Amino acid sequence: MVMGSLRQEAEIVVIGAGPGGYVAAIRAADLGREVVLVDERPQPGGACLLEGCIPSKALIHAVEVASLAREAKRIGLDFAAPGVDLARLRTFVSGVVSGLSSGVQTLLKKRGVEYVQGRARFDGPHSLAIEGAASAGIDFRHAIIATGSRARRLALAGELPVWGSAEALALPEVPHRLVVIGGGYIGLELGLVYAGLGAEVTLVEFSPRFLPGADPDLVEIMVRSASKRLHRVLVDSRVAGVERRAGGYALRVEHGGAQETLEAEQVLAAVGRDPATAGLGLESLGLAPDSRGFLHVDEMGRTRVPGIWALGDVTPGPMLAHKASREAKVVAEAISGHKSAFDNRAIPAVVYTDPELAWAGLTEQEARTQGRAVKVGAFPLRALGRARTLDRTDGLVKVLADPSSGLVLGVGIVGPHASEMIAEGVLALELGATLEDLLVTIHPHPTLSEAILEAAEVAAGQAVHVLPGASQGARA
Amino acid sequence: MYTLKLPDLGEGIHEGEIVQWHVGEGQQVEQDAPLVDVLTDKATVTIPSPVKGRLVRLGGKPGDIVKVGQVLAELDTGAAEQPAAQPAAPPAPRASATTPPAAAPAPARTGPIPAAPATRRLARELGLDLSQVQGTGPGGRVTPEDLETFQSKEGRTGEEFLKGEAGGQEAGLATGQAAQRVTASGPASPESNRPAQSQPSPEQVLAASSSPSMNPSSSGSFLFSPELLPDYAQQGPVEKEPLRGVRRLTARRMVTAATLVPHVAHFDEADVSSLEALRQRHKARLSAQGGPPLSLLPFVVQAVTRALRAHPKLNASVDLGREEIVLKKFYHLGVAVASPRGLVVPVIRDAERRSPLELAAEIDRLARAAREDKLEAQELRGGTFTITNIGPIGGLAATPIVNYPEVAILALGRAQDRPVVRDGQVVVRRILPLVLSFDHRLIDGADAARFVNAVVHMLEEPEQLLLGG
Repeated sequence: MVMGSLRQEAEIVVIGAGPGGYVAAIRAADLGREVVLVDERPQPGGACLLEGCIPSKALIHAVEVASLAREAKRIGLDFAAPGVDLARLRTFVSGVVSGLSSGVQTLLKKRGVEYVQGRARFDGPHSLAIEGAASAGIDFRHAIIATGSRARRLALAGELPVWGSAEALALPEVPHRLVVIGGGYIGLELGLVYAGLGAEVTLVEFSPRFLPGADPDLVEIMVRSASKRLHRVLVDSRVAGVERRAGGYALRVEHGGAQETLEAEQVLAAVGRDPATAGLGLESLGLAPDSRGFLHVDEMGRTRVPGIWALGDVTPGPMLAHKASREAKVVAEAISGHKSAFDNRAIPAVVYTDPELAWAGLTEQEARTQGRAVKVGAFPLRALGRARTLDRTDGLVKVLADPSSGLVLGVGIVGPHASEMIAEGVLALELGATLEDLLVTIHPHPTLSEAILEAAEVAAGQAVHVLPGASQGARA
Repeated sequence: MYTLKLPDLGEGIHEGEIVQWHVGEGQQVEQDAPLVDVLTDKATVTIPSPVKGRLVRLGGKPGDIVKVGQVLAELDTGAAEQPAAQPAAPPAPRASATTPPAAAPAPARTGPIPAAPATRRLARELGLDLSQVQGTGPGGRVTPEDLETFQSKEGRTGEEFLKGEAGGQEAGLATGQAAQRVTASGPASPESNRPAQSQPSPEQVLAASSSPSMNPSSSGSFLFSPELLPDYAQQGPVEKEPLRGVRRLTARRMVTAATLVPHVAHFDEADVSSLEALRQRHKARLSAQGGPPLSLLPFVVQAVTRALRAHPKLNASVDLGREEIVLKKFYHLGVAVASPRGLVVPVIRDAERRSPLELAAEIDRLARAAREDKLEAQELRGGTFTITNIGPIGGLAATPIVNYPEVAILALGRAQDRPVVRDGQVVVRRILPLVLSFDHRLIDGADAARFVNAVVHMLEEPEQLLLGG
């Protein structure tokens, strides 16, 4: 404790300055609340901005440019094989990160949100102790817990310095061989980044398939492309042991009955993330996270304890920045007396592989599990003008609709810029749009977004660009 | 599975606001352990779990309003409805084995109700349940116009509400299977949001209240808000807080009383010099003996109770729905008290059976409990007449609004020495201003004057007050 430090008072204290916490702080301040934002890190942004979404996308962009240069040969352009200057690439990435973070800093400052760097711990129903800060503690009326999540450590690796996603994104080196454990979106994205930078990447996934939440036909297209860039892809495989070897690691991997040893200079563990609710002193609030560490909240973000709110990765649901940001606005508005609620119909999932994968709302496999009848219209990018001009036909768009009402129930996309295209699907879901709404909406030509129109036409049985009778992709 | 419905909490209470759950969804709860706090009327009632079991469904979140008879919680009691042979059966969600929920659930639909986010927000603000609204848009999508249509239909909620209030007296102090205990906990957290209810015009309400065809058993709650406020934030800084708890209830009841009851106020004053002398003679002695502080109020309660027995219409209620006058043969006198949560009216039960000293002790006890927020629910209900003593705070006189469905309320002004003429001489006397507000539907000016005359007479002749039959 810093001697002579003072206790502060705040109407609202937000713990965690990620895309949940800082958005809540800004929204609350805009609604006239007095807000203090506490985070362990010296600058705002959280895992997403500082060591997650943002730096990974900068790297993915770099790798994509290199890949385009390599593939340009096919369309008559010759480039020398791209060389990678790691130092300059790091500078680019850290420049992006620090620019955005200081932008957030400015946004907070201009609204009078006070940023306190330190580790927050509840020591009473309305008070917070702050370690490592000039502030001795904060007395608050409302506290918003937005501490996000932490990368799960690979228990098998013990104290071995294998990488987590944050280490990998710092780009310390490009190992000759890299084994990525975990075929979720982080493992896939970072595996492809390092492959693009020249590493020989082996991806090991425990379950029989990647991205179990997405429809298999979409994932398959992505995996087919990704496999060409990766050295090996092992599914249904369990890492049974990790050992240090001279200059690297040896991994014992079990697949079916067989066992093999993989050698690599570096290992990246991307085995999931856990909500960061430990060490917050929640017990002094009488608030207990569930067995997995999540805090349960109502649609306004209220926990069971009056005055204590939670949002983002610490609450159940997908651990995604855009979910946290939306919840942040709801919580800030609810605290300010507005009738706000997180009643969103779809939280889009996006995977920045090459090609990208994105989906929102109901998936075909969910519909099947629920025994729910849906109309599905699928449209392959190879039939789309714009995809041809990009020389990218590795993709598919599908739209799911209710067979009787025509209400759009889900959209799934694999292909270049799927991450951008999915927004139209999310809007359709939020608005309660029907297939007809999509059909009559003029989509600019020639664009990839026309694939959504085409898929909706297939689902409605009105496809122009599909051979009559073929009703390709239309499933009931 | 055990379905707990919000029990009938007694007179005039049709709904409660969930303040907090003591048990989380999925958690075990013992029989009689506290389950949920519900703010009803003006007290927070803790409803204990009637059975031992696992709480599988909450009927609402803090801030939600639950009506009497609506499902408050579903508890999985394990083997209760199964032969003991299958104790390990998974607690799959299933229809209640007791009785179906009071409110028929919306027809089964898969997935959320289609509606745009702006429409969903509007529904929240209007307090409408989307699943109840017929969507006319493509694919059954609910449009803002659908909400409007639904809302104008829902205007009838207002009639039902008033009807329910009017019929409230018939309900006794019956409670459901659940016993109640009042906690010292405050009102619902201020941040809790409860959508405003539908908004019929006062004209609609008045028209409706005279209709004999209304169903007396149902009721709705709402705040009348005939027009939207201007956006004051455009004029200067504003602060907003939710209208909750006692404030909300007071607002609702005042609107009911003020719009429904044709009020007339009758002014008088009592020369309480003798009474004051008597009070002064005994005050010090009483407090030395550890007795309650002796104010004028217990004597006024005594006088009013006597006068009520002689003027039964002042102790009655009007039931417009049944077109009946309910004459109450008991005298439970409410005394308005400021509490930390707002204005509350604890009730002195059977005031006619108590001596002034006993009344003083009871008033002291209730006022203390009100200030400490420890009033029991039954101490806040059953009143037949209300006295509001604003004099000690200040002011000459006030015209109060009746504590509906009571039909009269007496306001005491400040007792002070004033020059008055007695036998042609100007003398100093202790004068207590009195204002009786009454419901002109039932009581005429002459009734009120006679009643107040009786009160004044007794206050001016303390011997008669203390001895009189």
